[in-house]
Amino acid sequence: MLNNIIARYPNPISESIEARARLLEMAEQSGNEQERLARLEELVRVDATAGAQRSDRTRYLAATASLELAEPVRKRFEVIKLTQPLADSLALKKDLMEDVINVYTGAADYGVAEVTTAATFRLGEVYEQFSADLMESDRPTSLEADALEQYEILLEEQAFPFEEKAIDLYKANTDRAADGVYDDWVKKSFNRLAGLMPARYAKKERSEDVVTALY
Amino acid sequence: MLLRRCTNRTPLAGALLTLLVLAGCGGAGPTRDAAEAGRQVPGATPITGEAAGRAIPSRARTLHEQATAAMAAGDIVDAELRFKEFVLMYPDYPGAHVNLAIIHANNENDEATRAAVDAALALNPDHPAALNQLGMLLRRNGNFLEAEAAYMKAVTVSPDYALAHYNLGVLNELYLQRLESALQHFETYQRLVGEDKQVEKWIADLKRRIAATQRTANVAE
Repeated sequence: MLNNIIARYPNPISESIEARARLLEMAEQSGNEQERLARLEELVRVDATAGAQRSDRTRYLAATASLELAEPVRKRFEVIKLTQPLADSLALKKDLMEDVINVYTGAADYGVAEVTTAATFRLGEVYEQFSADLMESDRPTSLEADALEQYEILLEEQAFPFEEKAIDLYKANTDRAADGVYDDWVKKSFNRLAGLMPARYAKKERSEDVVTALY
Repeated sequence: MLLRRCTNRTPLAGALLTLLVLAGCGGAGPTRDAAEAGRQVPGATPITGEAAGRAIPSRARTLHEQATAAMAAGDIVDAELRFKEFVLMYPDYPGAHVNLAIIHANNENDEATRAAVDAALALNPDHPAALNQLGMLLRRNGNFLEAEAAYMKAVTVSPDYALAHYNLGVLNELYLQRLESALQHFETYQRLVGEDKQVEKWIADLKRRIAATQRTANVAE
């Protein structure tokens, strides 16, 4: 029914996009994953092709939809571990990393505050995870002790810039606090920084354990 | 009243009841010394004198001491019960409300924390420890400038209240990105409490970053 109305009256977009948002809600409620993804993609497409009819509302719906669409891409990236032969698993993981970076960068580019902080945090996670995966990757079995030590050093050198990048991304989020943006993603970014750079970020307020005076 | 409440408690509070009978109703609780030897944070307890001329009933004093002793010993569930009981009997002592605020804040119960802080500040709007709790609560909720105002009021009415200087350091550095203010407050904290190795490192880091920013600014000019 709603589908027919949208097909017959796609304009004005300000109205048809609300019907599409409603269809997305219905797909979510019914648990129809394929339908849900199709609706999300539709919202992104309609906004991108809306021309002069593009509005803050279409941009907002497209931004939140693109964040949802990024989830499966992120999960594909996350599950791949770096196993031997490293060249193969690394190539695969790098490809998936590019995909996930593209989708989150796209989401952040909408300039919708809460989507930007979410996408920035996820990007930080992607780099942090890649760095951690490198450090936890399978070591070649053929190396002697000395060579293995060299290998470890090289690995650290490779992993470090990714961790740095993760820190920069989390910082981009925490820097928003001073402008009054303090959503869950900014809070999570503070937590991650406290783990990655404890000397600077693991600072908790202090309180008396107990106040003994009555007045 | 405490005695009656004790005997009326349900069996569920069995273990607690035993404690209350022993420590509260029996009057053989830990001493004030035990409370004060507890886990005090350096720089805390800025509150000067217990309002000269106001007589505190000895019963109130005893019950409050027992509650603070329980809290200092880390027996938080018991302490909460005792403070709740206390403020029902003696609602006019801000210290008890502040202790409840501390307990609620540790339990991450913002609403109850706010109510306890408000109760303390209604009795004494200049209570440094209450203002400190208020600042921490506001910061957790992202109201950074209001948090700053609360801490600043605390150090204005009580310039030697080290904890609020410490918290102003954290607020300015992490959440407001005012490195120079952060440095100033950490330095004041350090001066008030003597030595704190960790804060010393933070001060060095802040100085280094401020100098780096100034160098960048000079180059830009």
